[in-house]
Amino acid sequence: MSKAARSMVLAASFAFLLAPGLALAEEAKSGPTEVAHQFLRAFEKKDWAALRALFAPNAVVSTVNLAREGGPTVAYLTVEQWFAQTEKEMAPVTFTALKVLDTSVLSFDQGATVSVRFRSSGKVGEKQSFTNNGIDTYSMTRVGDAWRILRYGTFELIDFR
Amino acid sequence: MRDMTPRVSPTLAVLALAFLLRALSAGPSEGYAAQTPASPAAAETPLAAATRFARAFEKQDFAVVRGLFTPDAMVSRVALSRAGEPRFYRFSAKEWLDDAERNHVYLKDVRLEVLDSSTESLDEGAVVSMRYRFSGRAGNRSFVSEGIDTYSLIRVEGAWRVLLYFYIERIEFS
Repeated sequence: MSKAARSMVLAASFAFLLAPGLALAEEAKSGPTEVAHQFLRAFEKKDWAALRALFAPNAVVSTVNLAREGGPTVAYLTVEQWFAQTEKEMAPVTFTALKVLDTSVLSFDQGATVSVRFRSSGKVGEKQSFTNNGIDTYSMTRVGDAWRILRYGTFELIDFR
Repeated sequence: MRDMTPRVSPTLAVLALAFLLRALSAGPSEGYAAQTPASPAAAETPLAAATRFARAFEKQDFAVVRGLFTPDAMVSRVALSRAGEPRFYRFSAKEWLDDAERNHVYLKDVRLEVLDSSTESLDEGAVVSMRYRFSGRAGNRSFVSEGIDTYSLIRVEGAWRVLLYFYIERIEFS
């Protein structure tokens, strides 16, 4: 397939995916695992609006930064605090890869917890590279027809070089 | 949440039930050798450590539970209900354990089912979740608690220890 043809196919695919009716239908059938994966994809793209939409009202975030030397750093944040911090910290970051290595989900009628083990890599600015091995945990409930995140927990070890 | 026993103040009863439900509800039934905080098996897995935590809570063996937390550990909870908004709680592990020890009520005819578990591990840490259903009587009322525990664990001197303990649950009375 020529480059021009591939571009047309891609453009048509995106237009199709962005159709409002289809987006709503996709959301309605998204289970907890799909919501967790949507979260990771939006994070990779730094699509903060999409991320915000995945949280339930009054949701909370806990972060654990593991260290090869010394103890872990733990923080509890409101979602707004987490966005303020993350948007700032992520500004110079470019992801080169974000790979989901494993996903597990436990659920009952009203709640669910999804854990996703991942590995990401990228650059901070022009010179510094990083790899991040971690486990994200999403505890969710149904808000209307959709699963939404009540508590997002990060658990990660970031190595810079 | 409603008062459960006529002889206990509503506030105390709510606190006591919240803690003791968790204390009694989290213990899975899988067997393993009895261990003390001073003698964790070097080969203990994250799931075994989380299970030991839950079993100790079931028995209200707070010394063992304290030994399984890291010094700066935290506990948080989201309480769901069928009608109202979710409620959020956060404690230091010390606060949580101190309250659990202070606020004793006795539950009867309790039955715990650990329905499922999952583990995600790194070299440096692990996250274990357990889905459970717990039922019994509190005073003259029956209750059912359904929820999911999540333990974030790290290695401390070779043994897995709970850095964060989180649970999402719904308790219903009849």
